[in-house]
Amino acid sequence: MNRRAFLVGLGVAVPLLAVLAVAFRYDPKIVESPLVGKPAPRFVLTDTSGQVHRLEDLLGQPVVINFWATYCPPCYEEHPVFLAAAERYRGRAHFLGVIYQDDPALIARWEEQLGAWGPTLVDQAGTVAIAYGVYGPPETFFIGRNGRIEEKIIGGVSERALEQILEALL
Amino acid sequence: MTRAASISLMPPAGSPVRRAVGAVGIFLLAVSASTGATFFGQSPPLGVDPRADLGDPAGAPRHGAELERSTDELARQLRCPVCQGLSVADSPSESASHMRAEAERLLAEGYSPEQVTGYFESTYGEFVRLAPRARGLNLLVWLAPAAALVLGALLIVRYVRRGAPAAAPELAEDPSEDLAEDLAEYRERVRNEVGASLSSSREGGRSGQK
Repeated sequence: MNRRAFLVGLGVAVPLLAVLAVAFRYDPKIVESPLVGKPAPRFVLTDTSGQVHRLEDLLGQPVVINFWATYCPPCYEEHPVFLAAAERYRGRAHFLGVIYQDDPALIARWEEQLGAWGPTLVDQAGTVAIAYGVYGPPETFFIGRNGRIEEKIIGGVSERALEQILEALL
Repeated sequence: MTRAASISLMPPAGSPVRRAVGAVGIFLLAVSASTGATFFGQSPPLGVDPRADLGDPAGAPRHGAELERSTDELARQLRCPVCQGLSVADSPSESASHMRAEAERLLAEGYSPEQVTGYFESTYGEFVRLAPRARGLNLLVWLAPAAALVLGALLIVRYVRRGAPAAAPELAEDPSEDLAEDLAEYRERVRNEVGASLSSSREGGRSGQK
């Protein structure tokens, strides 16, 4: 075998394999949030019934903020998880839903058919979604008692994950 | 009359034990004070102003054509969060229009494009930049193509300078002569075999006609 050709081939293949070995560990669809560990951005939003909600009013308890939409299939799957969790943790944690670019009529129909697990806030101008760096629903933020974003889940939330995170925040 | 001896529970002044007891006492006092303050006092408000990290605008407020031009330029550098590789300027999505509107608002207030980009980066991460910063591991993206181009050019130059490959070894002067000798033997055998088979078929035909 030509020794030089072998060494050149090795010099190309080994770094390439190393890069692939590292890169395949990451899901290209997931983007790490720079907000985890930082204070949660404040907001004032109105829910679908016209009531105003301020994040700063929710003192002393963990807050779960879920950005969702009726056109999002994982949002269907995680809806029962939030229904159950909001009931189980009533009085110990706050659950807020923020609509992400959706039709109010569809939201109303959704809640009529599937039920609502908390206030459904309307982010008309998308400023809250921008402040939280939302790439697309569903995305869920867990805010601790200290007002810091402790965890962010991209995609549907499982019952187990939600319970694990909330129990750690309580 | 003797004076009753007084019994003191406190260790003597200056002793290590007394110093340790004092330190523990101060610690416990601090803990209880902070706990009391947390319980009875005002907790820090939940949440921060999303624009807290922006600081003051670096420049003067923008209007009209200047604002539109700055917004367009910046929108071309920001990635639409719901699209595949599209800029905020090119994307028809609602997310992109919201980001563009927010960028326009901030630029109108006098924030520089770098400040506005930094704001989006603080919430979305570096991925919101369509072109990654030329630093750290990102340098690979910028340098690797150039390095590959240079390497390729060097290989081509080296190959060209090495010259034409060595000429192939010459064949025999007239190969047909050797070939003719080799084939002569086989031609003779073919003639003999064909001749023999023709003779036998003629004799067979004559005997059949009788």
